[in-house]
Amino acid sequence: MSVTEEKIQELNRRFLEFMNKSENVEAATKEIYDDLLDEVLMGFVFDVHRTTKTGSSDVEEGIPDDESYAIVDSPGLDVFGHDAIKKFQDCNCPNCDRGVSAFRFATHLEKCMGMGRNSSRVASRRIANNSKDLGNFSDNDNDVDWSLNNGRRKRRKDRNGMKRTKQQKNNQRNGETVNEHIHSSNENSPSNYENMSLEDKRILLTQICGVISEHTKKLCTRSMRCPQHTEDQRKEMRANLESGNNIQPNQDNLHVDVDTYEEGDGQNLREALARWDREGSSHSSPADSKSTTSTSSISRKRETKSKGKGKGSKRDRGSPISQGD
Amino acid sequence: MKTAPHQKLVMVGDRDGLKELLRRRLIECGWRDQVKLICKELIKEHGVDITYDKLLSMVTTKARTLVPDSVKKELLQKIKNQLIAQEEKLKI
Repeated sequence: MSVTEEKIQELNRRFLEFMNKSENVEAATKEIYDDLLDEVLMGFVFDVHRTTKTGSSDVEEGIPDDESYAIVDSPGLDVFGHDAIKKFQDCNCPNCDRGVSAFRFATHLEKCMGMGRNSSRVASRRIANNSKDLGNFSDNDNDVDWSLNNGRRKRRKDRNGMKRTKQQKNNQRNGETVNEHIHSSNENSPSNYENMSLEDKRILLTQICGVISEHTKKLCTRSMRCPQHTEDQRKEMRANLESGNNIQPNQDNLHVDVDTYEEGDGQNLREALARWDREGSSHSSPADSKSTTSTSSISRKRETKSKGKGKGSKRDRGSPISQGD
Repeated sequence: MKTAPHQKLVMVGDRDGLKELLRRRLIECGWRDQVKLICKELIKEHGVDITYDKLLSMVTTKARTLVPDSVKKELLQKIKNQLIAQEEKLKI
Protein backbone atom coordinates (compact mmCIF):
# COMPACT_ATOMS: atom_id res chain seq x y z
CA MET A 1 0.00 0.00 0.00
CA SER A 2 2.67 2.45 0.90
CA VAL A 3 4.76 1.59 -2.12
CA THR A 4 1.91 2.18 -4.54
CA GLU A 5 0.90 5.38 -2.76
CA GLU A 6 4.40 6.68 -3.12
CA LYS A 7 4.53 5.77 -6.76
CA ILE A 8 1.20 7.50 -7.44
CA GLN A 9 2.33 10.64 -5.71
CA GLU A 10 5.60 10.50 -7.64
CA LEU A 11 3.64 10.21 -10.90
CA ASN A 12 1.34 13.09 -10.06
CA ARG A 13 4.34 15.29 -9.27
CA ARG A 14 6.02 14.48 -12.58
CA PHE A 15 2.75 15.00 -14.41
CA LEU A 16 2.31 18.46 -12.98
CA GLU A 17 5.89 19.34 -13.84
CA PHE A 18 5.32 18.15 -17.38
CA MET A 19 2.09 20.10 -17.72
CA ASN A 20 3.68 23.34 -16.69
CA LYS A 21 5.10 23.84 -20.15
CA SER A 22 2.40 24.40 -22.83
CA GLU A 23 4.51 23.05 -25.73
CA ASN A 24 4.95 19.87 -23.74
CA VAL A 25 1.19 19.52 -23.53
CA GLU A 26 0.85 19.93 -27.30
CA ALA A 27 3.58 17.38 -27.98
CA ALA A 28 2.12 14.95 -25.46
CA THR A 29 -1.32 15.30 -27.02
CA LYS A 30 0.05 14.58 -30.47
CA GLU A 31 1.98 11.63 -29.19
CA ILE A 32 -1.03 10.15 -27.43
CA TYR A 33 -3.13 10.67 -30.55
CA ASP A 34 -0.59 8.78 -32.73
CA ASP A 35 -0.49 6.06 -30.17
CA LEU A 36 -4.22 5.65 -30.19
CA LEU A 37 -4.40 5.78 -33.96
CA ASP A 38 -1.75 3.09 -34.26
CA GLU A 39 -3.57 0.90 -31.85
CA VAL A 40 -6.87 1.27 -33.71
CA LEU A 41 -5.18 0.70 -37.01
CA MET A 42 -3.47 -2.38 -35.65
CA GLY A 43 -6.84 -3.66 -34.58
CA PHE A 44 -8.35 -3.16 -38.03
CA VAL A 45 -5.43 -4.61 -39.94
CA PHE A 46 -5.33 -7.52 -37.56
CA ASP A 47 -8.98 -8.20 -38.36
CA VAL A 48 -8.37 -8.12 -42.10
CA HIS A 49 -5.32 -10.31 -41.87
CA ARG A 50 -7.12 -12.80 -39.70
CA THR A 51 -10.13 -13.08 -41.99
CA THR A 52 -7.97 -13.67 -45.03
CA LYS A 53 -5.88 -16.24 -43.21
CA THR A 54 -8.85 -18.20 -41.90
CA GLY A 55 -10.74 -17.95 -45.19
CA SER A 56 -13.74 -16.22 -43.66
CA SER A 57 -13.23 -13.35 -46.10
CA ASP A 58 -14.39 -15.76 -48.82
CA VAL A 59 -17.53 -16.35 -46.81
CA GLU A 60 -18.10 -12.63 -46.30
CA GLU A 61 -17.50 -11.57 -49.89
CA GLY A 62 -18.00 -14.76 -51.86
CA ILE A 63 -15.62 -16.60 -54.12
CA PRO A 64 -15.23 -14.83 -57.44
CA ASP A 65 -16.95 -16.68 -60.28
CA ASP A 66 -14.78 -18.94 -62.33
CA GLU A 67 -14.85 -17.97 -65.98
CA SER A 68 -15.05 -21.60 -67.15
CA TYR A 69 -18.49 -22.01 -65.62
CA ALA A 70 -19.94 -18.85 -67.04
CA ILE A 71 -23.04 -19.32 -69.19
CA VAL A 72 -22.30 -18.63 -72.83
CA ASP A 73 -24.96 -16.49 -74.42
CA SER A 74 -24.11 -16.28 -78.08
CA PRO A 75 -26.18 -17.33 -81.11
CA GLY A 76 -25.56 -20.82 -82.48
CA LEU A 77 -24.05 -22.15 -79.25
CA ASP A 78 -25.61 -23.75 -76.22
CA VAL A 79 -24.97 -22.54 -72.65
CA PHE A 80 -21.68 -24.43 -72.50
CA GLY A 81 -20.40 -22.86 -75.69
CA HIS A 82 -20.61 -26.05 -77.71
CA ASP A 83 -22.06 -26.31 -81.17
CA ALA A 84 -25.77 -26.97 -81.08
CA ILE A 85 -25.49 -29.42 -83.99
CA LYS A 86 -24.15 -32.58 -82.46
CA LYS A 87 -22.67 -35.44 -84.36
CA PHE A 88 -25.12 -38.30 -84.05
CA GLN A 89 -23.58 -41.56 -83.06
CA ASP A 90 -23.50 -44.28 -85.67
CA CYS A 91 -23.96 -47.93 -84.84
CA ASN A 92 -22.53 -50.59 -87.09
CA CYS A 93 -25.12 -53.14 -88.06
CA PRO A 94 -23.70 -56.62 -87.32
CA ASN A 95 -25.68 -58.08 -90.19
CA CYS A 96 -24.91 -55.80 -93.11
CA ASP A 97 -21.89 -53.85 -91.73
CA ARG A 98 -23.47 -50.53 -92.52
CA GLY A 99 -23.33 -47.53 -90.23
CA VAL A 100 -26.82 -46.71 -89.04
CA SER A 101 -27.85 -43.73 -86.97
CA ALA A 102 -28.46 -44.72 -83.38
CA PHE A 103 -31.99 -43.40 -83.62
CA ARG A 104 -32.84 -45.68 -86.50
CA PHE A 105 -30.79 -48.68 -85.39
CA ALA A 106 -33.68 -50.63 -83.84
CA THR A 107 -35.89 -50.26 -86.88
CA HIS A 108 -32.99 -51.13 -89.12
CA LEU A 109 -32.27 -54.32 -87.17
CA GLU A 110 -35.91 -55.23 -87.37
CA LYS A 111 -35.76 -55.18 -91.14
CA CYS A 112 -32.18 -56.33 -91.60
CA MET A 113 -32.08 -59.28 -89.23
CA GLY A 114 -35.76 -60.15 -89.21
CA MET A 115 -36.05 -59.34 -85.53
CA GLY A 116 -38.55 -57.11 -83.85
CA ARG A 117 -42.25 -56.95 -83.31
CA ASN A 118 -43.65 -57.03 -86.84
CA SER A 119 -41.31 -59.63 -88.23
CA SER A 120 -41.85 -61.87 -85.23
CA ARG A 121 -45.56 -61.65 -85.90
CA VAL A 122 -44.96 -62.59 -89.51
CA ALA A 123 -42.70 -65.44 -88.47
CA SER A 124 -45.17 -66.82 -85.96
CA ARG A 125 -47.93 -66.66 -88.53
CA ARG A 126 -45.73 -68.50 -91.01
CA ILE A 127 -44.94 -71.20 -88.45
CA ALA A 128 -48.60 -71.59 -87.65
CA ASN A 129 -49.47 -71.98 -91.34
CA ASN A 130 -46.70 -74.51 -91.88
CA SER A 131 -47.81 -76.66 -89.00
CA LYS A 132 -51.38 -76.54 -90.26
CA ASP A 133 -50.30 -77.58 -93.75
CA LEU A 134 -48.18 -80.39 -92.39
CA GLY A 135 -51.13 -81.58 -90.39
CA ASN A 136 -53.28 -81.60 -93.50
CA PHE A 137 -50.74 -83.54 -95.46
CA SER A 138 -50.28 -86.09 -92.78
CA ASP A 139 -53.93 -86.96 -92.20
CA ASN A 140 -55.54 -85.96 -95.47
CA ASP A 141 -53.95 -86.87 -98.77
CA ASN A 142 -57.04 -85.83 -100.74
CA ASP A 143 -56.01 -82.21 -100.72
CA VAL A 144 -56.60 -81.02 -104.26
CA ASP A 145 -53.58 -78.78 -104.51
CA TRP A 146 -51.36 -81.36 -102.98
CA SER A 147 -52.44 -84.14 -105.31
CA LEU A 148 -52.32 -81.88 -108.36
CA ASN A 149 -48.83 -80.76 -107.55
CA ASN A 150 -47.58 -84.16 -106.58
CA GLY A 151 -49.47 -86.46 -108.89
CA ARG A 152 -46.42 -86.83 -111.09
CA ARG A 153 -44.25 -87.61 -108.15
CA LYS A 154 -46.64 -90.25 -106.90
CA ARG A 155 -46.79 -91.78 -110.31
CA ARG A 156 -43.04 -92.02 -110.37
CA LYS A 157 -43.14 -93.80 -107.08
CA ASP A 158 -45.63 -96.19 -108.58
CA ARG A 159 -43.30 -96.93 -111.43
CA ASN A 160 -40.43 -97.48 -109.09
CA GLY A 161 -42.51 -100.12 -107.38
CA MET A 162 -42.84 -98.70 -103.95
CA LYS A 163 -45.34 -99.95 -101.41
CA ARG A 164 -48.34 -101.02 -103.40
CA THR A 165 -51.07 -101.02 -100.78
CA LYS A 166 -50.49 -97.45 -99.82
CA GLN A 167 -50.37 -96.39 -103.45
CA GLN A 168 -53.64 -98.00 -104.20
CA LYS A 169 -55.25 -96.26 -101.30
CA ASN A 170 -53.91 -92.94 -102.38
CA ASN A 171 -54.80 -93.46 -105.99
CA GLN A 172 -58.33 -94.47 -105.24
CA ARG A 173 -58.91 -91.41 -103.19
CA ASN A 174 -57.17 -89.17 -105.66
CA GLY A 175 -59.01 -90.73 -108.52
CA GLU A 176 -62.37 -89.63 -107.18
CA THR A 177 -61.59 -86.16 -106.02
CA VAL A 178 -59.15 -85.14 -108.70
CA ASN A 179 -61.18 -86.38 -111.59
CA GLU A 180 -64.17 -84.39 -110.44
CA HIS A 181 -62.01 -81.36 -110.14
CA ILE A 182 -60.48 -81.70 -113.57
CA HIS A 183 -63.67 -82.44 -115.40
CA SER A 184 -65.55 -79.58 -113.82
CA SER A 185 -62.88 -77.02 -114.54
CA ASN A 186 -61.93 -78.19 -118.03
CA GLU A 187 -65.42 -78.46 -119.52
CA ASN A 188 -64.94 -75.97 -122.35
CA SER A 189 -61.28 -75.14 -122.10
CA PRO A 190 -58.57 -76.10 -124.60
CA SER A 191 -57.21 -78.70 -122.20
CA ASN A 192 -60.38 -80.65 -122.83
CA TYR A 193 -59.35 -80.66 -126.48
CA GLU A 194 -59.21 -84.36 -127.07
CA ASN A 195 -62.78 -84.78 -125.79
CA MET A 196 -64.19 -82.20 -128.20
CA SER A 197 -65.95 -82.98 -131.40
CA LEU A 198 -64.37 -82.11 -134.73
CA GLU A 199 -66.62 -79.08 -135.15
CA ASP A 200 -65.65 -77.70 -131.81
CA LYS A 201 -62.00 -78.26 -132.59
CA ARG A 202 -62.29 -76.29 -135.80
CA ILE A 203 -64.08 -73.44 -134.07
CA LEU A 204 -61.50 -73.46 -131.36
CA LEU A 205 -58.62 -73.40 -133.82
CA THR A 206 -60.05 -70.31 -135.53
CA GLN A 207 -59.74 -68.48 -132.25
CA ILE A 208 -56.45 -69.62 -130.79
CA CYS A 209 -52.98 -70.56 -131.97
CA GLY A 210 -53.56 -74.18 -131.01
CA VAL A 211 -50.03 -75.49 -131.48
CA ILE A 212 -49.21 -78.24 -128.98
CA SER A 213 -46.21 -77.24 -126.95
CA GLU A 214 -43.38 -79.72 -126.67
CA HIS A 215 -42.74 -78.90 -123.04
CA THR A 216 -46.18 -78.69 -121.48
CA LYS A 217 -47.87 -80.92 -124.05
CA LYS A 218 -50.79 -78.54 -124.03
CA LEU A 219 -52.51 -76.38 -126.58
CA CYS A 220 -51.24 -72.87 -126.96
CA THR A 221 -54.18 -70.68 -125.98
CA ARG A 222 -52.82 -67.45 -127.34
CA SER A 223 -54.19 -65.55 -130.34
CA MET A 224 -53.73 -66.60 -133.97
CA ARG A 225 -50.72 -64.34 -134.28
CA CYS A 226 -48.93 -65.76 -131.26
CA PRO A 227 -45.22 -64.95 -131.61
CA GLN A 228 -44.07 -68.08 -129.83
CA HIS A 229 -45.13 -70.42 -132.61
CA THR A 230 -44.55 -70.00 -136.31
CA GLU A 231 -47.21 -69.91 -138.98
CA ASP A 232 -45.89 -73.24 -140.30
CA GLN A 233 -46.53 -74.91 -136.96
CA ARG A 234 -50.09 -73.68 -136.92
CA LYS A 235 -50.67 -74.84 -140.49
CA GLU A 236 -49.26 -78.25 -139.68
CA MET A 237 -51.55 -78.49 -136.69
CA ARG A 238 -54.61 -77.72 -138.74
CA ALA A 239 -53.51 -80.02 -141.56
CA ASN A 240 -53.27 -82.83 -139.03
CA LEU A 241 -56.77 -82.10 -137.84
CA GLU A 242 -58.19 -82.09 -141.39
CA SER A 243 -56.29 -85.12 -142.61
CA GLY A 244 -57.99 -87.38 -140.18
CA ASN A 245 -57.47 -89.40 -137.07
CA ASN A 246 -54.31 -91.29 -137.89
CA ILE A 247 -52.02 -88.65 -136.56
CA GLN A 248 -54.41 -87.01 -134.15
CA PRO A 249 -54.36 -89.76 -131.56
CA ASN A 250 -50.60 -89.46 -131.33
CA GLN A 251 -50.92 -85.83 -130.46
CA ASP A 252 -53.66 -86.64 -128.06
CA ASN A 253 -51.53 -89.29 -126.53
CA LEU A 254 -48.99 -86.68 -125.68
CA HIS A 255 -51.61 -84.73 -123.84
CA VAL A 256 -53.42 -87.64 -122.37
CA ASP A 257 -50.23 -88.83 -120.89
CA VAL A 258 -50.35 -85.90 -118.56
CA ASP A 259 -54.03 -86.21 -117.94
CA THR A 260 -53.95 -89.82 -116.93
CA TYR A 261 -51.31 -89.11 -114.39
CA GLU A 262 -53.95 -87.30 -112.46
CA GLU A 263 -56.58 -89.95 -112.86
CA GLY A 264 -56.80 -92.71 -110.40
CA ASP A 265 -56.64 -96.41 -110.94
CA GLY A 266 -60.26 -96.86 -110.05
CA GLN A 267 -61.41 -94.52 -112.80
CA ASN A 268 -59.18 -96.18 -115.37
CA LEU A 269 -60.37 -99.52 -114.30
CA ARG A 270 -64.00 -98.55 -114.67
CA GLU A 271 -63.42 -97.06 -118.09
CA ALA A 272 -61.51 -100.09 -119.22
CA LEU A 273 -64.21 -102.40 -117.99
CA ALA A 274 -66.94 -100.36 -119.69
CA ARG A 275 -65.00 -100.42 -122.97
CA TRP A 276 -64.46 -104.10 -122.64
CA ASP A 277 -68.22 -104.60 -122.42
CA ARG A 278 -68.77 -102.45 -125.50
CA GLU A 279 -65.97 -104.32 -127.20
CA GLY A 280 -67.80 -107.51 -126.75
CA SER A 281 -70.93 -106.15 -128.46
CA SER A 282 -69.53 -104.50 -131.61
CA HIS A 283 -66.24 -104.30 -133.54
CA SER A 284 -66.11 -101.08 -135.57
CA SER A 285 -62.67 -100.58 -137.12
CA PRO A 286 -59.39 -102.42 -137.21
CA ALA A 287 -57.64 -99.58 -135.48
CA ASP A 288 -60.21 -99.58 -132.72
CA SER A 289 -60.11 -103.26 -132.29
CA LYS A 290 -56.38 -103.13 -132.08
CA SER A 291 -56.45 -100.48 -129.41
CA THR A 292 -59.29 -102.05 -127.47
CA THR A 293 -57.74 -105.43 -127.47
CA SER A 294 -54.61 -103.97 -126.10
CA THR A 295 -56.57 -102.15 -123.42
CA SER A 296 -58.55 -105.21 -122.54
CA SER A 297 -55.44 -107.24 -122.12
CA ILE A 298 -53.88 -104.52 -120.08
CA SER A 299 -56.93 -104.00 -117.96
CA ARG A 300 -57.03 -107.68 -117.37
CA LYS A 301 -53.42 -107.47 -116.39
CA ARG A 302 -54.21 -104.66 -114.05
CA GLU A 303 -56.88 -106.63 -112.39
CA THR A 304 -54.40 -109.29 -111.52
CA LYS A 305 -51.34 -107.17 -111.09
CA SER A 306 -51.26 -103.42 -111.15
CA LYS A 307 -48.18 -103.20 -113.36
CA GLY A 308 -47.44 -101.41 -116.62
CA LYS A 309 -49.99 -98.73 -115.84
CA GLY A 310 -48.35 -95.87 -117.71
CA LYS A 311 -48.24 -97.58 -121.04
CA GLY A 312 -51.67 -99.07 -120.65
CA SER A 313 -53.35 -95.87 -119.64
CA LYS A 314 -51.95 -94.09 -122.68
CA ARG A 315 -53.71 -96.42 -124.99
CA ASP A 316 -56.80 -96.35 -122.81
CA ARG A 317 -57.29 -92.69 -123.35
CA GLY A 318 -56.39 -92.90 -126.98
CA SER A 319 -59.11 -95.33 -127.79
CA PRO A 320 -62.31 -93.42 -126.92
CA ILE A 321 -61.48 -90.66 -129.37
CA SER A 322 -60.88 -93.09 -132.15
CA GLN A 323 -64.15 -94.75 -131.22
CA GLY A 324 -65.96 -91.42 -131.31
CA ASP A 325 -64.66 -90.80 -134.80
CA MET B 1 9.65 12.14 -18.79
CA LYS B 2 7.19 11.77 -21.64
CA THR B 3 5.70 8.66 -20.16
CA ALA B 4 4.18 10.61 -17.25
CA PRO B 5 1.06 11.86 -19.08
CA HIS B 6 0.55 8.41 -20.65
CA GLN B 7 0.73 6.76 -17.33
CA LYS B 8 -1.56 9.35 -15.83
CA LEU B 9 -4.20 8.84 -18.51
CA VAL B 10 -4.00 5.08 -18.27
CA MET B 11 -4.25 5.28 -14.49
CA VAL B 12 -7.29 7.48 -14.55
CA GLY B 13 -8.87 5.32 -17.28
CA ASP B 14 -9.38 8.06 -19.86
CA ARG B 15 -7.13 6.42 -22.37
CA ASP B 16 -9.51 3.52 -23.01
CA GLY B 17 -12.38 5.94 -23.37
CA LEU B 18 -10.47 8.05 -25.85
CA LYS B 19 -9.41 5.02 -27.83
CA GLU B 20 -12.96 3.78 -28.06
CA LEU B 21 -14.07 7.22 -29.19
CA LEU B 22 -11.44 7.32 -31.93
CA ARG B 23 -12.36 3.88 -33.08
CA ARG B 24 -16.01 4.77 -33.33
CA ARG B 25 -15.25 7.94 -35.26
CA LEU B 26 -13.02 6.18 -37.73
CA ILE B 27 -15.66 3.53 -38.40
CA GLU B 28 -18.31 6.24 -38.79
CA CYS B 29 -16.35 8.19 -41.35
CA GLY B 30 -15.52 5.06 -43.42
CA TRP B 31 -11.83 5.09 -42.67
CA ARG B 32 -11.90 1.47 -41.61
CA ASP B 33 -13.35 0.35 -44.98
CA GLN B 34 -10.70 2.33 -46.83
CA VAL B 35 -8.00 0.60 -44.82
CA LYS B 36 -9.62 -2.76 -45.50
CA LEU B 37 -9.56 -2.18 -49.26
CA ILE B 38 -5.91 -1.17 -49.11
CA CYS B 39 -5.14 -4.34 -47.19
CA LYS B 40 -7.01 -6.50 -49.72
CA GLU B 41 -5.09 -5.03 -52.60
CA LEU B 42 -1.81 -5.58 -50.78
CA ILE B 43 -2.77 -9.18 -50.06
CA LYS B 44 -3.60 -9.73 -53.72
CA GLU B 45 -0.25 -8.31 -54.71
CA HIS B 46 1.85 -10.22 -52.21
CA GLY B 47 -0.22 -13.38 -51.89
CA VAL B 48 -2.20 -14.71 -48.97
CA ASP B 49 0.92 -15.72 -47.07
CA ILE B 50 1.89 -12.10 -46.34
CA THR B 51 2.84 -11.63 -42.67
CA TYR B 52 0.94 -9.31 -40.37
CA ASP B 53 3.97 -7.15 -39.62
CA LYS B 54 4.72 -6.59 -43.29
CA LEU B 55 1.09 -5.79 -44.00
CA LEU B 56 0.89 -3.32 -41.12
CA SER B 57 4.11 -1.55 -42.06
CA MET B 58 2.89 -1.10 -45.60
CA VAL B 59 -0.58 0.08 -44.58
CA THR B 60 0.38 2.46 -41.77
CA THR B 61 1.76 5.41 -43.69
CA LYS B 62 -1.16 5.53 -46.12
CA ALA B 63 -3.73 4.95 -43.41
CA ARG B 64 -2.42 7.88 -41.37
CA THR B 65 -2.89 10.27 -44.24
CA LEU B 66 -6.42 9.02 -44.84
CA VAL B 67 -7.66 9.98 -41.36
CA PRO B 68 -10.12 12.87 -41.78
CA ASP B 69 -8.98 16.18 -40.31
CA SER B 70 -12.17 16.60 -38.32
CA VAL B 71 -11.59 13.31 -36.48
CA LYS B 72 -7.98 14.14 -35.88
CA LYS B 73 -8.76 17.60 -34.51
CA GLU B 74 -11.53 16.27 -32.31
CA LEU B 75 -9.26 13.62 -30.86
CA LEU B 76 -6.40 16.03 -30.24
CA GLN B 77 -8.77 18.40 -28.53
CA LYS B 78 -10.23 15.69 -26.32
CA ILE B 79 -6.82 14.39 -25.30
CA LYS B 80 -5.66 17.87 -24.47
CA ASN B 81 -8.78 18.58 -22.45
CA GLN B 82 -8.33 15.35 -20.57
CA LEU B 83 -4.75 16.15 -19.69
CA ILE B 84 -5.73 19.62 -18.50
CA ALA B 85 -8.57 18.22 -16.53
CA GLN B 86 -6.25 15.85 -14.72
CA GLU B 87 -3.86 18.67 -14.06
CA GLU B 88 -6.69 20.73 -12.55
CA LYS B 89 -7.65 17.78 -10.34
CA LEU B 90 -4.17 17.42 -9.01
CA LYS B 91 -3.81 21.17 -8.34
CA ILE B 92 -6.97 21.33 -6.30
